[in-house]
Amino acid sequence: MHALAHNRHAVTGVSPAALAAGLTPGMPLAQARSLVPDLLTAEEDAEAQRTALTDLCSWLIWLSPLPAFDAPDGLYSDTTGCAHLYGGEAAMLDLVRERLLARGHSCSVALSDTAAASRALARSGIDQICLVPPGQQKQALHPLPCSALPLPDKTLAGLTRLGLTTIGALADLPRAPLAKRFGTQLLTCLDGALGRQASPLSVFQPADRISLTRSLVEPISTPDAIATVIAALVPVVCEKLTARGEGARQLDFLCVRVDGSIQAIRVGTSDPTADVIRLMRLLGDQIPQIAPEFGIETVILTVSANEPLEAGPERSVLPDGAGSSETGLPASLIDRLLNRPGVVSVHQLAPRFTAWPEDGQSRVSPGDVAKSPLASQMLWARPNILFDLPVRVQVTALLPDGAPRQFVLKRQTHRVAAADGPERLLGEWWQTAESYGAIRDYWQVETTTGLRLWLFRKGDGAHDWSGSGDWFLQGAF
Amino acid sequence: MTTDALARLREQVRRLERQSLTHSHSDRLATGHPAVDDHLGGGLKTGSLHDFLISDPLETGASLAMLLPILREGRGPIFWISDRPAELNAWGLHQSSLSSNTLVCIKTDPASLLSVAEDVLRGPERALAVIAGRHVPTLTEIRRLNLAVEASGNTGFFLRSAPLAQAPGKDPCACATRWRILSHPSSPQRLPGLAMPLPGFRRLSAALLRVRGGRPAHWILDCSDHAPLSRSLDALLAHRAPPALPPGRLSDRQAARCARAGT
Repeated sequence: MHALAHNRHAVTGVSPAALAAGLTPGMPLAQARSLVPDLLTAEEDAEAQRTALTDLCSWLIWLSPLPAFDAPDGLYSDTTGCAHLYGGEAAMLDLVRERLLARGHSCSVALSDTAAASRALARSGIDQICLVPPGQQKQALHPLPCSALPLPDKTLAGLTRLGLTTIGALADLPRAPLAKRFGTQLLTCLDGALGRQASPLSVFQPADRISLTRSLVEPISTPDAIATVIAALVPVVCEKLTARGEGARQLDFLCVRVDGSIQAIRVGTSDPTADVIRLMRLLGDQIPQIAPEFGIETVILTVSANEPLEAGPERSVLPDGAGSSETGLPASLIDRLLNRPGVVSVHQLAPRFTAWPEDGQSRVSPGDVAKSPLASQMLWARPNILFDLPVRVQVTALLPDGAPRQFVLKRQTHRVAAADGPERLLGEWWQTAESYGAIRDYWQVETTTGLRLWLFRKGDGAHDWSGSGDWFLQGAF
Repeated sequence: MTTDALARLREQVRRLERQSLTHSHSDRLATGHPAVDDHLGGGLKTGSLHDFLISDPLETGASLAMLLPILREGRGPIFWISDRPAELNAWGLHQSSLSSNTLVCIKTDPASLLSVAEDVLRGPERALAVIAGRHVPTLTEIRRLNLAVEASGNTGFFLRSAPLAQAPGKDPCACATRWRILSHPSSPQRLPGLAMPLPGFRRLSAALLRVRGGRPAHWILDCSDHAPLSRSLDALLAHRAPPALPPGRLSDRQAARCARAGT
């Protein structure tokens, strides 16, 4: 491996065989060629190296959640609190080396109190493991050459000229003359390595989000063209999702228009999915929401929320004829409805235990209704239709505890032919002060025309504190 | 992937079979009333639309008393599509033995009510749709929905308000059936000790205004049990048992309870 340095080519990396033949990194390429005439050389590709290092860094997340770069050829990992998972620090370092060797890398691993000290120790030798006990990095660094520190070449040359070849010799010198002669950078490096000064690591964030960008040759504006682009992108995204064993819960489709503005549509799914047809239909339904105007030149499809795809044993290959498949809600239809323009809400009703019937149900998102075994504990009949706001009616009743005989609703008189009740409900006195002592007497009535209604009177009819005594219509059976 | 493909294949086969066997018994949703079922040849046809006219908001309950057993018969997820908040009550539906797991309420813009309904009815998924809205669908819209349900085998029910005076229900209709269901006075049960008689079994006056390939009819139907007992009778009696008081000290209300518990 060689690269251009100071208008000549220098060797930057060598194989073990070349190392045995006497080649070292830093040697001019011409000299290396003269030493080994049949030398196989390749020019360094910085871009490929960076990509490979990024891959390795995202791989290193298995060790600890905080890996960091040491460009161009090193990696840090903050393993504080992780060693016990691998059976101690020595076992952990062995495991790291073993796994790196298995991936085909020769490496040298070092662990110490500070990142800079570990870096110096690791870079002072190839293919070794170095474990420094806590607080002893000064002794460990003592015999190392100054070139192990990340110092500029000029400083290193100056130090060599003064005969300061090891870090130990450097550390023993008085600080003020050193700073005067070589600047503060040398002391910063030294203090970082010896643990006198903390130096932050820039922790690597792995690119975890699946995102596809397509620049279009010509701006597109027709719905058909947008559908074609979607049809090209979705299978790729689904393939990536399947490879990760995950399903999309939310997709963002961004269209960058010619004028630079962005049209965004977002679709969500009710369960993680990597189904091409389903996602394509969801996105296709949203095409009318996009206003391309002068044209779209770039599209970006991003999976903004993903979850592991559950492929449990409960998913049978054949749908059973009369069983669960009929009662379960169709997830793809629910998705389409939730994402559809024009739909205000999609919900299911779940019974809830409350004092007043108008609070007696909650709206839950589809599929979340728990099987409520308590729902069958309601002994009294409840209407199918319930008004959230009870309607005031004028009632003639047999006082004080008697049944309503007739009532007036919207200037129309209904005579009651039969009535069942009262069912007395007490307010939730533990919630609010107004509910304390509040009483409602509910009656199921049937009018002479056969209407079955649910009326209630506020109060028990005898005491003012229990309610006003007004009558209301709350539901219809 | 495999599951979906197989399910889709089965669905296609089922649809093909259905077209060749248009009068098979499984294509009917029984109403639970023998007279009506006999007249309709087994019940309401699936894969078609049915129109329920509601003459008064308070009469909605009567239509529901007819519709809920049919929906339960359908055994699929039920989509209640409306442009107003559905005034349904989970407790009441539970007592009508309609599981709240299968009911999905969808609220839409008034303008997109029918297009959402079409999406539900056309999709490959099995669904029953109840379309409750103020909007009177035109013939074109209904034919469009008809094509959707014929292709998919799903069933749609219109539940729309049509006051008797304004819309007598004689206008042309592309639905398979059109109903106007009103409540009818029941025979109250008079019990000693109660000032008012108890309501008897619910009675409906069901008018079949139009039916495709059949004759209109009118029935007085007894819904024998619109609120079934949730548990065995002895459990109910135990729950309603009056506290241990000497019989002479029972209040009127408790006496009424005892009397009713005996029924």
